[in-house]
Amino acid sequence: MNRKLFSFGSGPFFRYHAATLTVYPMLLLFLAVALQHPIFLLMLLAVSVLAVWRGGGLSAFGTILRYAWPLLLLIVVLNVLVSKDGATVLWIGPNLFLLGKIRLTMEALLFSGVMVVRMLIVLAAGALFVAWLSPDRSLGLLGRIARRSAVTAMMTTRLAPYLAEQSEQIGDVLRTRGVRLDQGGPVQRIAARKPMVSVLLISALEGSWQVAEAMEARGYGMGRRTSYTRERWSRRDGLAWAAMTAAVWLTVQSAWSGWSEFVFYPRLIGWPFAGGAWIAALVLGTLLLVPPLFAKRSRR
Amino acid sequence: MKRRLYSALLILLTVALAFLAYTYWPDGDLNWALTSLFLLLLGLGLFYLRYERAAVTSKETAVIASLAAVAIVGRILFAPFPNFKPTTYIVLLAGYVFGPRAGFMVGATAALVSNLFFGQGPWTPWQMLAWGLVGVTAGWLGRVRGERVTAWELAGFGLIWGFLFGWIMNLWTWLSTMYPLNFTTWWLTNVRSLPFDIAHAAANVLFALLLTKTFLPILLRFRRKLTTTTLEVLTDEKR
Amino acid sequence: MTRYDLQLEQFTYRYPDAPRLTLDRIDWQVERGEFVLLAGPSGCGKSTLLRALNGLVPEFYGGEIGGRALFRGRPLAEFPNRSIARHVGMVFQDPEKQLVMSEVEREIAFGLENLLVPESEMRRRVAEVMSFFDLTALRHRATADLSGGEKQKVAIAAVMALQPDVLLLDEPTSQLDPGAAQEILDLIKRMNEELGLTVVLVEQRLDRVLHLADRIVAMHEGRIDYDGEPQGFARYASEQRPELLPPVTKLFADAGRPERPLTVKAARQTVASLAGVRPAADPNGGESDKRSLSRFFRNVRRMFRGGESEGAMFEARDVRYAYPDGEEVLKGLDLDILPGRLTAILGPNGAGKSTMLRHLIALLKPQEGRVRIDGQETSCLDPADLAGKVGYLSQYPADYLFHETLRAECEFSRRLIGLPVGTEEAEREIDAVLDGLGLLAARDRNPRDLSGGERQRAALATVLVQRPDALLLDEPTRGLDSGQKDRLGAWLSRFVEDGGTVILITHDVEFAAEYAQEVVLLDDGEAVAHGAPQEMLARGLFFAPQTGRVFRGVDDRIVRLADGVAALRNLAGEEESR
Repeated sequence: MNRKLFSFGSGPFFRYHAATLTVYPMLLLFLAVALQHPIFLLMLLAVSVLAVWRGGGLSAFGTILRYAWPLLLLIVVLNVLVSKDGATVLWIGPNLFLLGKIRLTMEALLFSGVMVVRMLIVLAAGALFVAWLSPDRSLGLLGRIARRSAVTAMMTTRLAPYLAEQSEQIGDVLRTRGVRLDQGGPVQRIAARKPMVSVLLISALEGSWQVAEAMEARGYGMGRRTSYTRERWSRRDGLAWAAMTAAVWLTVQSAWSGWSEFVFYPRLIGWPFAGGAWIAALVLGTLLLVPPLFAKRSRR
Repeated sequence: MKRRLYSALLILLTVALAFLAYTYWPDGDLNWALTSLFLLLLGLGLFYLRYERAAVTSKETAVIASLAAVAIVGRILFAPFPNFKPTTYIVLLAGYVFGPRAGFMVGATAALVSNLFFGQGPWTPWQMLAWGLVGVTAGWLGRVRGERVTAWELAGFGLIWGFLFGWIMNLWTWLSTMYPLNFTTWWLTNVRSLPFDIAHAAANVLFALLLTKTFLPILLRFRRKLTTTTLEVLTDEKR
Repeated sequence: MTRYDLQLEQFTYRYPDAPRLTLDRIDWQVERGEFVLLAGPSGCGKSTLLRALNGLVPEFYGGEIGGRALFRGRPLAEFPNRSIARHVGMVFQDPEKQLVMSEVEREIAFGLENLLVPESEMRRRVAEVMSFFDLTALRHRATADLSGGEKQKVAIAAVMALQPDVLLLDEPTSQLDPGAAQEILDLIKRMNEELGLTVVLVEQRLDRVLHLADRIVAMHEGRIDYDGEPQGFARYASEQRPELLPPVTKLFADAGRPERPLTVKAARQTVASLAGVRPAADPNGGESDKRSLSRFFRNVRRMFRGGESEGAMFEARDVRYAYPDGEEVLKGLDLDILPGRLTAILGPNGAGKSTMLRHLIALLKPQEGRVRIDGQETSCLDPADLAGKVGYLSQYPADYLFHETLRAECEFSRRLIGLPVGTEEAEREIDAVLDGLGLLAARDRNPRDLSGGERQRAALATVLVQRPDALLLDEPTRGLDSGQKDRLGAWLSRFVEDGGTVILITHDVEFAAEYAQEVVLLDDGEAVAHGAPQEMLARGLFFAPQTGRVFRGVDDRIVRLADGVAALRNLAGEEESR
């Protein structure tokens, strides 16, 4: 049934403020993008995977990877094939159409590996966000910042399952009227669905009028509005935010003092890793582990 | 009008800055991944801010939400045809009829909410931007062409957006994981999604040709109902 | 301070582009704490009047307005930005189209957010309202997943969270089944009694609510036709607007009796006193000769048919069906539907009525057992193959209407099954169908502009132009007023007289009793009983029409209004002759 497609199910509830749960994955994302030092990125990846595990999103992460592996492969192949800036040549290939001479360099290989790590962190951050913050809570948070937009989005989440159900009924009605939805070639079958989309559109527009009226009957005007929330700020959040602030500070400090400096082309600079890099990366990882480690889940 | 001018100026300024930045720091020095992420969030934020600030009536809000829901549910109607969905076309038409602001919101909301149902990820904001821009540009087109538009024009518009959409979605991958950032890596990045983009463009064209003739009058009729609320006080002789 | 909560002064209103006034110089008041029932046929302006009381007319609709509407002496125009919602709440007809948010708790808070209620106060009110309406268990559920009754309850709770002084309800139960409807009505009564809430209720099924109201207002063509207490309403309606009478009252009015009972209980007492203490009369006593003759013929026909499946148009044998989520709905259903008869299928919620109907039109295929339509197994049939032979009218007439004109809609139907369109013959046929349904004038109008009852007939027209032999109807009386119901019933009876077959599933026992020739009772996925309405509905506890309830113990074979009228005349005659 289509209904199932449009229900969130009630996942676990994490005892953090929704803002904490939103900012943490975003922080991972930004750090992944801001840094390009292999040690730092590997540390971030380890932390992200741990966090995803704590957040109960490992299986979702797996699903994402199943779709994303061609992208990861593309990152490696393209970087290795196209980049001609590396100095340490490992292998010289044939002359390819449009690409010119293929030069496989160690720098490009390492760069593509690091970029794959970066992409993995990004994907993990996405999986974490979905896993530990339910759509209701994230929309609720949006409601704190952008009230009208949040109302619009929530209405859409409410209307989508209704329209999905309606579209099933519409299909039934049309079939009993003699529309054959599954006969003929693809174009014919797509054309046969035209009445379905028409009815759906007209009904949705008609319904929107009634919904708007119901909204006005409950005082939705053009003035300001407040926003209802159950989110509570706890000491746990304070700890998480302290750790995250420290992590940001450390990242800036590392960039300032050159610990996280790493240049790939034409020759690797920063290799082998200086002691500062190791220590900074370790401390950064530890700081970032704090929020997921103190995450506590409860059923509601 | 003034507000519109501001946002146009702001967009122009952003593009100019990006261009300057690129010429000054050819590559390497500027972290393009980070910059593009900031620009994206800034852009989305600006559009949303515009919607928050504007005097949007309950009717417009409800229409936007309903059309976004139709765009999402449209995917189900065409479940037997993978990669062949009317979503972009509906966003396009919504923008065309109800203007850039509503068009952006329909597109962005459809992306946001459909990802709530089908799985959120780092691609969500990019999808929001891409679909939002479909709505915005269609809204501009609507201002120019009005009610005279033909199905072929919208089909052509949809064709272009079929590819642009894919390119926008690939932009970030290219910016944040490729070196060097040149035309070769750019087009090679897009080669991967080319089959999807072609299907997307074809779907837009087909739906435009198939649906415009019936859908455009329906939406235009509803827009008239929506926007012209006249209130008159009856006087005794009029009764 | 005025003692009125709401006042209309010379209120006149015309919708944009409407040809005539919807409300015409109305002077009207509602007192504090009153329970007012607003009655009238569809299109009389009662919904518009309701919307005038909270300013949606004209603020939302536009149009032309004269006179003024006041809340506690203050014109509604003085409440800026919909802040009137704080004082006057409104609940609408369709539960699907008044819920805005995705989650129950947020839905309840929606109005509070609009009215800038501070956060701590919001939490208190949400908690209180959820307790009052017994919704705490549903607080985190998605609104889309609730049942119709639950949705309507949430809608009411969401309005009540604003702590209004007045609650306006626009046919809040018309889309619900009888059980859920009763629960909602009880809730409204409780709020009126316990919280002192002023209630203005628009309701189609008057028999459910007449005894709740303090005052009844009847509207007709934009004017107030009657305004007073319930007993007076019964007298007014039987003289001027008999279509507004609830069945029990109509029974006495039609029989020419002076009594005007409003409830079954009162009617029973009258009947009992008329009948005296004598034992139940001869079962056929109240029937005319013609009817008993027809029953005789039917029994003869039955005898000749012998084995029941002979000649059945729809036949189900041991049908089992479970939905993908594993819930088995049909559990060995056996059913025979004879051609040329009107069969009503009754049953509680979840008995499998809709699932069964969908099997009879090949939308669903039995997982075990078989279904035959006119001798053809459905397992290899596409529903489209049945178009033109079996017509199906779903609960949602709007799903049938998407063309620019009603005529185009009918032509679309005909083209789908290869019937000619555009020819003179075809035109005549379409016109004949539309004329029979009273829609000829609407032929070139956009069918979406039609009213609820007209829409249903328009949907029916699109089915009928395919010339089906049988009609399957899903809850055809939902949302219709009694006049529309009578017209539909008469029309269906004519269709059956002309040789058609009708199957309808319904919660409306009155309608089934009045028009059905066969009644099937479905329970837990099986047909538990099948027979004539007189046999099936007479001594029912739940599935009993009001007329039958009135005569229970006096004459148990009476279920139809006409039979009841005849019986009542008889009783009265006997009493006089005694």
